[in-house]
Amino acid sequence: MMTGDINHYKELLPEYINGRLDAETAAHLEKQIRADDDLKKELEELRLLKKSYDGLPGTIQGPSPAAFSRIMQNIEALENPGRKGLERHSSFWDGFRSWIDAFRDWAAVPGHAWTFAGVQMAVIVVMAVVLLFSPADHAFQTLSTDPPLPPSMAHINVVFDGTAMEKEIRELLTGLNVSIVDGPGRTGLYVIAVPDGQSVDQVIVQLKNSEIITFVQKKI
Amino acid sequence: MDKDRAKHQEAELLEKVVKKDSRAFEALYELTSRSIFFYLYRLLQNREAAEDIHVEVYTQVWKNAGGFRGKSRVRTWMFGIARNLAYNEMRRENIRQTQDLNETFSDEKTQRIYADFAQQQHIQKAMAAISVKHREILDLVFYHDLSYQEISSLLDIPENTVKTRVYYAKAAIREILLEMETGQ
Repeated sequence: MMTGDINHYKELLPEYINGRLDAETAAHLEKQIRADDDLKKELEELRLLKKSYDGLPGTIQGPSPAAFSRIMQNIEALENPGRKGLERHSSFWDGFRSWIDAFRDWAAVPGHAWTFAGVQMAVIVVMAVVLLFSPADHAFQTLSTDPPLPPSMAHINVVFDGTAMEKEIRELLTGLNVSIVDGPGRTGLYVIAVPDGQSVDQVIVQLKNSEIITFVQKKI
Repeated sequence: MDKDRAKHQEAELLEKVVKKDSRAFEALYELTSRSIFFYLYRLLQNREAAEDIHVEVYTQVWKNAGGFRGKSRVRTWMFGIARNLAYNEMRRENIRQTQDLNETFSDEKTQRIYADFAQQQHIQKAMAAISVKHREILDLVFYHDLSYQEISSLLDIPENTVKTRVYYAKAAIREILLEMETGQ
């Protein structure tokens, strides 16, 4: 078989695997595959490549439940820019934005920009001096530590199944009267807060019984 | 759900989204969000960035639903929005990868890496190491199950380029599997 022909047939293989070729082309290609070991290997490798996707979605967590709320907030802001419920929130941000715009206009003037750079430099120098001469016995908290959580509430670490729909997660959490307060971590770990007066053990049992949860542990 | 039914359902839901039906929008989100998020995550390789763009994609879908002309499947149109936003993000972050590919292999080498091909985890490791462009094309063909024609329209490249890109992407996977095998 000519190299050009082989390449043509190789290019058809992904569409063949996905069942997109018409019957006639598929039959012709199958005949070529039977006659050519190189094509056979190529087909086998592509099949394995496709198969490697089978377990993949489960290893990648979907968007967090908070994503949909963020989308709806964006939409709300788009649809009702002057709406009463959003007014307080919007007016603060509108004010902040106009302040930023005014500042940007002010800083766009070259002389002002240099003044601002000078002020920044002075602040950096002052901070460096303060840090250099301050006592070193402070208890520092690294950025890698967990964010502070409300101390009065019990917390549970959970991981949702990769196939869980956002709606299912929402329904489960709402039904248990618990809410997500942190996450997801790199491994898809979320922290759930259980309100006072509610049995943590009971919530854990119910979470364990849920098909959309793959890991549950009380946060210590 | 079979592909034709999903395609039809997505189109129906988008029609309702044009009329600002938020329930239809939620249903469309349920139907497509995992696929769109997976696509973004594989492009950006960063969960937070993928989620930020994901939020932006659906905001754009709501805003521009009326602009859908029905020339492609709704999901392909959404991939297009996701792709534009993700590539803008990558341009900003300058994380686009490029790689030179060597696509010649001897038969002996092919035989050796052939065994490794059976190990799907190795393939996915190799997948993480190839260029964004190559990972994207393989995802679109083998995971999202888009036709060459749909990919051509999504990426705005000729169908022949789609074919050769798939070929080179697979060659890149092979190359990396070979490197993994020889411990380079």
